[in-house]
Amino acid sequence: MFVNSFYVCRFFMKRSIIAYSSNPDAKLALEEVKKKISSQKQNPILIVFFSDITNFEYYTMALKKDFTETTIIGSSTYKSFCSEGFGHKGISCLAVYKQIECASGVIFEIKNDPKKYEKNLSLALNKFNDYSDMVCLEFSNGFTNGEEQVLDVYNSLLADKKIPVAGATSSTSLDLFEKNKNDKYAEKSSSSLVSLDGNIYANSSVFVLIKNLNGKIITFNQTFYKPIESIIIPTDIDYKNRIVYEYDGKIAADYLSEKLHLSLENFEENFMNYPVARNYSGKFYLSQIEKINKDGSLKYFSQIFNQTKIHLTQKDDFQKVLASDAKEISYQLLDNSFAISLSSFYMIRNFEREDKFLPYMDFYSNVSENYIGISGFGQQLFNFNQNQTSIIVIFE
Amino acid sequence: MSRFNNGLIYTNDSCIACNKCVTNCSTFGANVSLVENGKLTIQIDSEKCNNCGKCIDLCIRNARQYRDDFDLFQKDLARGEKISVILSPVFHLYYGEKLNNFIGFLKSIGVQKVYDETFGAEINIWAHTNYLKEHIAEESRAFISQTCPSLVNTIELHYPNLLHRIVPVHSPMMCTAIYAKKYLCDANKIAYIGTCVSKKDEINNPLTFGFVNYNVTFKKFCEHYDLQNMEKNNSNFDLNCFGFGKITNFSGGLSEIIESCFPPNYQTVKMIGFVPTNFQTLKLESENKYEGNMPLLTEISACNSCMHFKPSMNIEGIETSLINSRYSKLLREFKESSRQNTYEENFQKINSYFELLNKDDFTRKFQNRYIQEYNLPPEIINEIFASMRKDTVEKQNINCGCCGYSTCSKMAKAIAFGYTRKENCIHFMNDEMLLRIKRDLRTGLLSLPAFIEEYNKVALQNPEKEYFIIGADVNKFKVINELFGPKVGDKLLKMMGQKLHQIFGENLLAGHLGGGIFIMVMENTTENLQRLYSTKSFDFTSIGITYPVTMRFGLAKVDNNISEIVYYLDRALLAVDVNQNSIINTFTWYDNKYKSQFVHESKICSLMQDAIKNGEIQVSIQPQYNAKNEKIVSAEALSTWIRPDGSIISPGEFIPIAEKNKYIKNIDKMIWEKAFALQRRFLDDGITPVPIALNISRVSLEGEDCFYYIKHLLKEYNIPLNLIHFEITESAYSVNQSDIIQKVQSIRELGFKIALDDFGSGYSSLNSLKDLPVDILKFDMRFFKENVESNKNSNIIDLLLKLSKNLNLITIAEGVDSYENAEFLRKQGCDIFQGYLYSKSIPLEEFYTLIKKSEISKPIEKPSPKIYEKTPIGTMLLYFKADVSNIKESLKIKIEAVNGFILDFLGVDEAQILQWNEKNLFSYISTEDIIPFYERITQSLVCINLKSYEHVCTIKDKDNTFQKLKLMISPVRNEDNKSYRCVINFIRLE
Repeated sequence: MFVNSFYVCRFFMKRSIIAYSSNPDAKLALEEVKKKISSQKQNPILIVFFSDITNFEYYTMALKKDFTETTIIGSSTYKSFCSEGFGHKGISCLAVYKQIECASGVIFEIKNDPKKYEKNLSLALNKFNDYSDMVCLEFSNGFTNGEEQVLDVYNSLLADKKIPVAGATSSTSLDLFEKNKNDKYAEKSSSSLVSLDGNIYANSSVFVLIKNLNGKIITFNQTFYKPIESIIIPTDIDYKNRIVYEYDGKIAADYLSEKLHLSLENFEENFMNYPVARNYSGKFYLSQIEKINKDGSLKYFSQIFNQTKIHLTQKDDFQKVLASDAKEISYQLLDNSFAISLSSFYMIRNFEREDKFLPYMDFYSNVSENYIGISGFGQQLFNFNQNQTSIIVIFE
Repeated sequence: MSRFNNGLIYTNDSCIACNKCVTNCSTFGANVSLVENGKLTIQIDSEKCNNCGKCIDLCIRNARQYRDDFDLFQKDLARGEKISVILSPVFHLYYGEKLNNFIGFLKSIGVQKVYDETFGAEINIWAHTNYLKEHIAEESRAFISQTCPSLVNTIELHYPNLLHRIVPVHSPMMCTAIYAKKYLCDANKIAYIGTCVSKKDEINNPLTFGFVNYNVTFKKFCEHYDLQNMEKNNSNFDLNCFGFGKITNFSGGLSEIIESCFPPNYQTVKMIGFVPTNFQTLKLESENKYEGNMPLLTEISACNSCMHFKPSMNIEGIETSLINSRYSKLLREFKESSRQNTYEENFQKINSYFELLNKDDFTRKFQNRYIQEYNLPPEIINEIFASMRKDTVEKQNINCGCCGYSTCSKMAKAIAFGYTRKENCIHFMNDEMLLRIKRDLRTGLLSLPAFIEEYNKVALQNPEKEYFIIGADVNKFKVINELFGPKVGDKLLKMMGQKLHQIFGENLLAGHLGGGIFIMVMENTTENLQRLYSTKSFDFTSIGITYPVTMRFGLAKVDNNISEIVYYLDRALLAVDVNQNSIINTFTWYDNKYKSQFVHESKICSLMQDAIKNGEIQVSIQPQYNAKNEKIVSAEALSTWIRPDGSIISPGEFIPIAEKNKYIKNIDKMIWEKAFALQRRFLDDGITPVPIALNISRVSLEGEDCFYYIKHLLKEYNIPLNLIHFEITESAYSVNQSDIIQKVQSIRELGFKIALDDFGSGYSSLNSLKDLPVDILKFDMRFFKENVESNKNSNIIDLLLKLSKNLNLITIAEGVDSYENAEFLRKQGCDIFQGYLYSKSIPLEEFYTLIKKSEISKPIEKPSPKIYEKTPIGTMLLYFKADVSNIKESLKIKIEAVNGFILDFLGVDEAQILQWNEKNLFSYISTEDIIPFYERITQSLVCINLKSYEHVCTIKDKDNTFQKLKLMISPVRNEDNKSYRCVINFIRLE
């Protein structure tokens, strides 16, 4: 008895922990993360997890089975990364045990009519009396073209309460993405998944409203591209399908490659290195091409609107961006508990190719001891759906 | 395939984009404005269109058309397909008693069975009433009728929250078809003949698919079949209605019947058209505020008054009053009959007709096809407004509706979504037009009319102030365009506008007239003048022009007594060209002498046309003499202008003006013809003539017809070629040399001798002589008049004559007016003299007599010198710096710009060549040419008045083959007086 009491006295429960396993055996991986989550001798209030698509369903169900009282929100990802490691396979979890309040829900039919499910958000919102120091963390299925509409739903209730929406579009493995990219009949929405409390959803957005009882929450927008002076104007678009047919009255692919001084072939091979920046009232939001259609039109991962200024971009100085962002974050928040990075599929892929991934992880180590990250197809902050961006949500 | 116009309704080529369809369309985004093959048109996005057909009715140009299945129906019928037809109830009203003739006609063309849709309408009513009875207690009743396919489309696409309120029964057409298939076991294909375009949607809808195969619109049916003689046919429906369904022909008929089956406190509402207010009412009907007053049913359909006015109905020959009368009769009969019973009895009566039917067979489902619209952030709308120059709240709320959208905000939203174009806003286009009138698009500065308008405003507001007008032209702007390309030229103009504002302040009134010409107004203050004069040159290194760009400014002070600004603008612009300097800006104040000169020129110019016509300009001939024997050897044809009052205008006065105004072409031709005619006369009279030299002005040479006119004269007068020479002044070769050389050469190839006139007066160097197509060198002694025997002049003449001798050129000295001159020239070997010492120019007749009487000299013959054909291959801008005392050691060369021809010739890329120094450059020049090249540069450095010169050298091309090229070098001394730039034109020698 004495020994036990002594043990209890010495045990200091952490506010949050990161659990990660890259074990290729999903059962073993799950056991490893469960063991770590359970090590705190208390059920967490919230688990945020990211995993490969293959075992996502298994992790969703199995986690809920063990942590029935916990709000568990998750998304499939191309690569998960966290303070404990990173990889294309496996699972990473952020478990938060104290000093937060949560309420969650699902917005369905994001492809066409998410507004219909606004009440689900309203119900979750009703669980809070005070809306300060809150964030709405959401994950939406990929390939729905519905992120902007979902943001409308979230912001219609959260904007006036000054609750920021920060989210990511779930992604998938590279082979599945490449397989489905040019197959218009592929059911793309099922190739990236989101889940909430043990249920898998397609054509949906899952969300959790988080209130930090321990201080502030800051959201930070990070990109590694900077706009250049060269401006193009979309003059023929299909906004619902996110297609730009023409820039400045000329076929989009031809014109963009010409403006970038690339041959069309070179542009087709390297378009992932050339996001464009939408300029709304002097703020820039990146849009990434998803694919180049045969007619020369460009399909994007986020909405581009007709007759709005679009800047071409160039890569920014990687090290300078990291240094300046680290400084900015530390300036805004001296003491942080944990961070969630909502990063970009293409950004992470480019970092992998350019040997910048490890330095990028070093940056997060400096930002927070406990962090977890997703590499998704879209990144959402407030009203805007973006690409090639990292949105970092940091809890004091 | 286009993204648009693929649905039931489409736009044809008659569309003029008047926006009427957009204005009247109930569906945002269904009409898309686009430019196709340069023409603005409004096409239909079939994914959004509800196919109500309203736009077909509206379009007075018949630009909206629809697709139905008539062709397929007719083709299948012709090849023996068994087809039954459902006839719309509209035919009861349309044909009345003659309906059986029409049914007979249908059967005569092969239709198997004909069903009355009214029967299906009665099933539809039965299904409606039963559904309403079953759901009457529901809290949010306020159901919506289901008879109109366009209504279903509209709700499915745009109002998903109303879906659950549509009574889930099949339409009258579908009820008829289902009854025929399921209860009458009709295995035929079924065609619907009616008036509704959107029935095809219902036929193709996966939820109602398989019952009806064709939607045949009556309009297209009538276009194909002649129904004039249908009365010889007669037949009956194969399925007859009970009768009450006939009143559903008119919108509101269904409601009448429903109301007759329910207690009076259950109301129905009738609505026509899909205007937003109707849907707003539909939404409100189910709200709690309506509790207790909710309507039981709202009947709403697309068509305006009744089915027979639909776009696909053939309305020609319809007696509308007859139809209305028929309908009124039906309605009256129905009301009388229904009032005889209680609502319960009415309901039972309808039920009794269909008690054997299974309700499930006539129940349908609906599909949510709605796609939520993105709520555009205000930043996007603001950006669109900014691009439309809607920069004030007023401009953002004009809401005139001309664009087809009810508000400016809605239009901005439509632009953002790609549904329309900002050019569809007349206010934007008006602003744009005004801007284009007022602003020069290349520079952003004021256009001339706007400049004048703005000046007048300023002058009016500040009558006490004094102003001066500035005209300014960029020096060698054409060269900049040639060297750096027109894009850089445009950038320069734009930046120049900005620089002028930077120097003289944002409030400077400045305009751009085109080319490199700018105009400005400044207050006449010492400070302003100091600022102006202190501007030495302009720096454009940021756009790649590495040398300073200069302007020539002309200034004119505004006299407040004369308010017309144009008057001063002309003065300023007149002063612009008086002084020019490539190194430093020049400033020239207008002086009245420029004006008198201008006035004088204008006067001469105005008289010249008549003078040519009236023969006031006459040909005179000045004989030329053999230096050795002093006999007449040749002559030059000149012109003299004798005014009707006997006064004479000298050629020196009128020829330059004639050249400027192009009259010289006519004068040239007149002189040539007279000279050819004179030579012919000599020959015809048996007199041996001497060659006559005819001047060709640069203006004549530039024209395309010069060569052909000379050929024509040669043919017409048939004189030996050696009797005519042509003289071209040295200055004629100064610009566009290769083209001029080519033209002169073609005349020379006809066999005429060519003289280079006024040699030494202009731009040529001695060295360039060997490259020009010249046989005779003519120099004017007036250039050496000071003291012909001074060392300097005599050396030059000596050199000139020696060189001519080496080149086998005949030399003519013009202006020989003293024995001393003649003697000196004779000693030096000059061949021919022309001047007052021997003869002034004399009239034609006098010359004729002179030749007739005189002993003439034999012509002087020399072998023709070799000349080259020249083809320019490119231009290079070179910067060089050297110490004159030791050029070889100190010469530093940098290439600042080249064009593509040179890069291609040398086989190097631009980045590479721009890094070259003198060593790199010399490695491409043959060794023996390097020393002369140094000498040339030395010449440039020591010469005070820099002139263009030419140099032939051998240069290695990309294939390592040495090719002879002629370099035309135009040096310019830089402001530091130590370094130079030169433009080098490379000309290929073949």
